[in-house]
Amino acid sequence: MKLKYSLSRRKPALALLAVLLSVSTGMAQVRVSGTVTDAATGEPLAGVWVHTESPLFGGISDATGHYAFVLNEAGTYRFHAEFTGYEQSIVKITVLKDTVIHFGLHYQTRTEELSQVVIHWKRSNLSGYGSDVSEATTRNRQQLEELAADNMIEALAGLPGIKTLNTGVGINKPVIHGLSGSRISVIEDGIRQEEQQWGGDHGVNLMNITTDVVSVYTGAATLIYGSGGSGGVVVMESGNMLKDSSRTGFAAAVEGRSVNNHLNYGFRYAQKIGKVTVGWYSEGATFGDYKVPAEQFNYLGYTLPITDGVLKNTAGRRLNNRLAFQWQSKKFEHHAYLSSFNQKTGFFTGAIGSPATYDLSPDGDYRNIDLPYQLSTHQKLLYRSEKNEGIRQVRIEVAGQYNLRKEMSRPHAHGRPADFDETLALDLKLMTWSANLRLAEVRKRFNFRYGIQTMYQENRMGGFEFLIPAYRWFEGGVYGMVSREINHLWVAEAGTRLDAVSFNSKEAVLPFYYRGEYIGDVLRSQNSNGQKINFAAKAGIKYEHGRWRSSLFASRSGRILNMAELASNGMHHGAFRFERGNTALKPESGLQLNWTVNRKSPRWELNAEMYYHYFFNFVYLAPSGRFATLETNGEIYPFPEPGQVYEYRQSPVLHYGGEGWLRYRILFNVFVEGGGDYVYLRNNENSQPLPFTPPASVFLKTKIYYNRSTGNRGFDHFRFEVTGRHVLSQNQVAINELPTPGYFLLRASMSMNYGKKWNVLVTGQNLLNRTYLSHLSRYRLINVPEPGRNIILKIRFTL
Amino acid sequence: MKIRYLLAIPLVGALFLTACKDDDGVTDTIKPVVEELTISNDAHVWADSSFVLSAFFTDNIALSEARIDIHQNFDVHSHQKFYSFFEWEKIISFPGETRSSEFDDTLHVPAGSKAGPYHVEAIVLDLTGNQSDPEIIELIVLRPDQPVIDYDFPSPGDYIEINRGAQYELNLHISDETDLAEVILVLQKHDGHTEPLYEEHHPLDGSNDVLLQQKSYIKVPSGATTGTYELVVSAKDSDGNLSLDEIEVLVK
Repeated sequence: MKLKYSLSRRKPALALLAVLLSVSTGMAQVRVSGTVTDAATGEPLAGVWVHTESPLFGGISDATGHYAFVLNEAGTYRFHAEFTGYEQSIVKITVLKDTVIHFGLHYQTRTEELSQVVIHWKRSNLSGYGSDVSEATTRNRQQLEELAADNMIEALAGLPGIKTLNTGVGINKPVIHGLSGSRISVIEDGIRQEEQQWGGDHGVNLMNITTDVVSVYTGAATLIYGSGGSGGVVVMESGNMLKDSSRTGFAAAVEGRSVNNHLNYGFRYAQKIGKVTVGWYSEGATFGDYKVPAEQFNYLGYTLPITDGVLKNTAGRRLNNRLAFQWQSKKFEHHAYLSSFNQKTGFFTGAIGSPATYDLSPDGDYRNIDLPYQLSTHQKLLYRSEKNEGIRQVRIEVAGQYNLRKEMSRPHAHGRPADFDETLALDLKLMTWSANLRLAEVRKRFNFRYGIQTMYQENRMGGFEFLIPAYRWFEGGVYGMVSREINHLWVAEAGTRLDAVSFNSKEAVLPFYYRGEYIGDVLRSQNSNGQKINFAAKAGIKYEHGRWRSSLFASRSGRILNMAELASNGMHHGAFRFERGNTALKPESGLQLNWTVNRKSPRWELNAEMYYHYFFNFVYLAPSGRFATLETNGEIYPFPEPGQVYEYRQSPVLHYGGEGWLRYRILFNVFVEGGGDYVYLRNNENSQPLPFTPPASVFLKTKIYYNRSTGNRGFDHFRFEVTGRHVLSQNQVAINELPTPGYFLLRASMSMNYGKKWNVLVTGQNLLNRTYLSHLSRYRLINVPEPGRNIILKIRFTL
Repeated sequence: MKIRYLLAIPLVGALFLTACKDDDGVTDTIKPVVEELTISNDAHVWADSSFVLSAFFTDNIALSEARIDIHQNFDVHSHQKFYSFFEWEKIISFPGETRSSEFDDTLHVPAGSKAGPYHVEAIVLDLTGNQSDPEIIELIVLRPDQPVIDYDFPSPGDYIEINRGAQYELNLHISDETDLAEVILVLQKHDGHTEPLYEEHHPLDGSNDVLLQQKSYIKVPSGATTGTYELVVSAKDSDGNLSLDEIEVLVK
């Protein structure tokens, strides 16, 4: 035991020393990299100590199972991969140039009492630029694909504590711990995805096929990602385009979904040309109106038909592409890409405006996209450069992104005269430029992380409707964090962030029509200028002993409000209300306490998180008790739809909850997993719940793997899983929100490989074809149920 | 052992913080109610005449605003708005702490209004923002020049019995002073929101279709569910006037 204990203390230090030595000499160095996976399940193993015998060099695998380290010189080495509970893997290899070694570790069935080797997770790896105390939930591409989700955000929804806010099929935004919108930042390759400024129910326009790793940071573990994200941050990273030593890579997939006759394809191709790797990613989808197990819905006292159980005009199309470059200079790795996301989706005709204004009877075509519909495009040019080795790591991110969103609608439904034929209701154009510099540094027992972020944004408005004004926005932020290893058990971390924003919004004057008659030009938004400053800080500790890890941190969260909260003044279709912002609102701030505990052994895995958040001035939409009217020339005119005005207000809010899951390995290839989550959100001023609070849920999953190890031929790597999820009823509802009954959903999924190149995945969602309402869906308001049984077939080919 | 202490910190903290609920303010979550919404003349009003619209609103604490709206319901929520329909709306503000209020107004249906079915809808808000369930009633606007629906029928006000798999012969006689545009027969459940048992369309594209006289055979599929249905006969003229007639049908 004594020997093991001393090993546990020295290994990380030695690893670090090895890395330092390898960097400082810089002669005839050879890079060794690869992945470590569980041989039975194929899942990546994090925290595996991969090293040579003598002289000692090594590295620790990250959450994706990837490791890398540098040998001082070429030669013949014995490489070990060691991980508690797994049989040690040893290979002897002569390494002459940069080499890739993959390890598949075999689970030891009697491991509970075996060695107590302690590996310090992430201590020697600063590449995450995240935190040494806050834990991220991480999923790699393979795990995400197994979830057979329609998009990356939906894929995250299976994780405890994470839900999605849906507007039909394929338009989702993440909800973490019951918080959404601009309280959740979605970061792709270091750059925040923009579009949440336009209000509450716009999806996140991301490509699916380009993301290799997704990490979700909860709470205020998010200082380094910007002033938003007080609820959580979803970090998506595209990794190396080619496996370490290949010169060409190709992967393709086709997928079909029964619920909306959805068909999609995706491929990624990468080729090394000289020192530059060039990659092309493409994906496209076409889908029809989706089926629901219901024949009618109720809206505002009317019972309306859902003919043939199909929601009319929910069809859509998508086409996304990315051209990417990757190259290595002496110290830096560079990535650059140009990507384009394009989506056209119909709005269910019963969910926009008054249903009386649209035709709900079937038009005989389940794939056409009729009015009303939306077009979303997102173009991004990004350059990122990073130096991940050595004691000082640097990362630079520069990006320009252009969001375009057009909502097309019948003008007559908005009071326009019968001969008015312009259908462009909203035309939102948002251009954002960002530049970030992040540094991470190791000094003695300290890790430092600091950085500077800048962003310039310009929004333009068009169309015959009004939502938010045109504006210019400049944002700058600095942050610094330091963590210290107190001893081999404890790590402490503290950090702070300061953001400043300056904005100027333009006056908006639009013509107003009442029952087809032009009334006059009216002021919808005034010129306004503003400066806002926001401060955030956190401090935490982590305890790590054997298989146990636990962290506790307290933070002061802060968020600068967006333009919708400050200056919106228009009808929000789909939400059936008129929303009005307020420029006098102050940045949202609060105090937060997060606690996580994790125990991981090959047999048992336990994860739990509890959070407690007190917002001093939470921003929310409150009903005003007034209908939307316009006063001009001494007359009062109602707006065309019978919507109540909802105003953005601030109140102290209490937010707490928790989630946890437990995984038990019954046999080497059979797992049982169960867990649940709960969120509570209450306005402390009036003791009322807040809208869109996710209901509590519990789940139980069984997962079986079977590996025949047939090599290159025949079917192999079978995986089968069944998940039952019970979502409890939500009776904690805000004023005018409807309670939602509970429901049970059954999901099953099966996948297998054929040879080494083919993979088949079959998934069944809502297998019992249950009629249920989602409390987080916009369609809940009109009692339109969620999609019925959905069978998904996906075939993948990897070269 | 130390981990136990670490576990204990947030639990104690959470207990402390959850204990700090301030239940001093009780928020009104009770919706106001549209107690009554009525139209004089049995809700049948001739164009170029007047009727009285009455409503009665209540709330447990204080009413804020009500909105009454009249809109066309010619094609069961299936068409965009045109502007020769009779349309009317009003927002009523309630002063101070009004707990109940009556609204009466005499409305005039303009002479050029299309004949047919309309909806009168009322919603009320209280000061907290609670929104009532809507109250919806039907208003029929009549014109002397709208289509006239007639058919031979054993005894007016009676109902028809049709066996499953059988058919019923109906002699239709539909006339209009100027030009008929469309005649539709639909056999459906009363709520009108399930698949109809039988549908018959007569598009009358000619410019001078003043009469449609023919036999209709109302067929009931053998797999139909037994029960009470309604046969809706609707006739539209080229001026956009819509006449409706409903016959109760018992499917056995």
